[in-house]
Amino acid sequence: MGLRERARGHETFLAGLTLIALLMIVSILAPVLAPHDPTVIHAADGLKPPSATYPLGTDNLGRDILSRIIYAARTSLLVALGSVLVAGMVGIPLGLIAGYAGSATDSVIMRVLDAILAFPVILLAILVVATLGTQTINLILTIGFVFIPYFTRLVRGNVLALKEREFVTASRASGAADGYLVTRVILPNILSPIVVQASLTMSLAVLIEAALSFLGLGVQEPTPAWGSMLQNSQLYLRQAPWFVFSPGLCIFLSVLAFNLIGDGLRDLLDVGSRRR
Amino acid sequence: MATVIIRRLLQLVPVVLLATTLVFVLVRLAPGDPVQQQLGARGSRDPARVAALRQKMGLDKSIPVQYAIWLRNAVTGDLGISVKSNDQVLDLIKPKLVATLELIVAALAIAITIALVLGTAAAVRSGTWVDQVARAFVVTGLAIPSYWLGLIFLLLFAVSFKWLPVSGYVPFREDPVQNLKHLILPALCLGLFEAAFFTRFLRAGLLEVLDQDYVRTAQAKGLAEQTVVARHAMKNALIPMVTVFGLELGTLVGGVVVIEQVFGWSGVGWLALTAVKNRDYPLLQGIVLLVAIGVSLANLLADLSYTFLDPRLRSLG
Repeated sequence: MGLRERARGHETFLAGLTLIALLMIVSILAPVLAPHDPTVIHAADGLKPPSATYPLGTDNLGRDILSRIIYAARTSLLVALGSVLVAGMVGIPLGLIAGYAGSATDSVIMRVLDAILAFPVILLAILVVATLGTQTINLILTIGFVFIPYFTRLVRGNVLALKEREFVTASRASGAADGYLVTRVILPNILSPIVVQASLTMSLAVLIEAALSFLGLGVQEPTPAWGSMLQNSQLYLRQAPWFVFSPGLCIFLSVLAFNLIGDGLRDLLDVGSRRR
Repeated sequence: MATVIIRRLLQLVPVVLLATTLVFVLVRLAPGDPVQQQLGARGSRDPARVAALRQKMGLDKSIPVQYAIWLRNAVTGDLGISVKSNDQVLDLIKPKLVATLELIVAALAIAITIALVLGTAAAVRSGTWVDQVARAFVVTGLAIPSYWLGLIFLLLFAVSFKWLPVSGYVPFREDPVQNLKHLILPALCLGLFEAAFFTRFLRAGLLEVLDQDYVRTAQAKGLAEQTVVARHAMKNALIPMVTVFGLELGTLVGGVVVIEQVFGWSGVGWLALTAVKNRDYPLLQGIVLLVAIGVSLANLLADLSYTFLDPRLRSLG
């Protein structure tokens, strides 16, 4: 059976794919789909329960919650996508170098990355965002930075496993240069685990972005973000219990979707056990 | 074995050094001046006072020199003095460490209990409804943000039913009952996420082991299923769990920071966020140093128990 047919039969993978497709459509069409301007304050309508005008109710400033979670999807996707790109663009070459060069180069790269890994991800992100500021680009760079070791370790391990294999030694014997070997012979053979890792890392990125914004260290008001909406909702748990549900559900579904896609891809592409 | 331990301990040194260097540089790149913070707008207008305090805090020296001084003191257990409260950093961290460790231990206890029961049941009854439940639990547990779960628990158990307190921390020595009442919800939020994570690994590990020849031999000998799983399969299935456990501790500590905020549990994570807000450099550095050492040590322990559980690895080091 081809990959395409097997993917069609993989229900959880398809579910994840559908959810992400929805998320993307919602992000792109936010101005069309949102019933209200997400930042306009209706002072008289603060903390209104769900109604025809405000399908998911309003927040403390009378802003439409539905419109805000729709626009917040943009923030989440952008940060997740951006940070995984950053991590991949730095982490993959580093892993190729560490794995292929070996010896001292390998040790130095891996020790530095161990230092990054010794930090709880959130603590590191808090530190960087608190020092450099909460602009979106900083969020992307920070979360991306934290994920570099994930890609480097994965790629390095795969390079180590591949570099003594016959097709590589054969290629080397026929005079291929190191650069060619790494980028044209080895890299194409480890794309599958990289794709799986990228998808699983996206889910972590969504979680971390939301956690940071929950702590007040994410995208700042009035720009909506799911995490900061949750932080806000905690202050009004008594008066407006509905406020807490929708932003959290969005985080949950996005994380779930990326996990399902990642796990599905691992099955479909037949990649070995999960490594983090 | 001893040489393995010593070598691994030595490997910790550059890791911790790099981690603290990173913090040191980052913190000093930050906007906001701790001297002005401490003196206030009025005090900052007096250049003599600013210069004096700057000198007292050692901020008049270059960053490498500051780092060297800090490191020299840190080795002797002197982590400096908090800019905000003028207390010894170590004295500030100690009581918070107790609170955080209590939360982590409780969360791990919940996680491991659930994982052992659910993971084992799912592997032994693979493909049945038990397995389905376990897998649904794993997929859901890994995707639910713990702080959202925390808010929903608060809404249910604290705001609606009023069974448990909304937030805060009471030291165990002062009032054990109140301490535990405050502990339940945050520990549960953290524990459920980890439970999902461990369940997944235990299930996969057991499934792999249960398929091996030696287990089939044990079954063929006519041993009871419980004996086969508990005595023969479990030990080998736990090996990958232990590694994951070490790696997961970093994630757990990260989760603690957020959960402490949700429940007003004044532990180390809570202290770290306060330090960030106050630009309290020495305090922040102290926390990061201790956390980095703690996580690295936990990883080391995990690696060592790995060798303990699997005798084949002992000679490899």
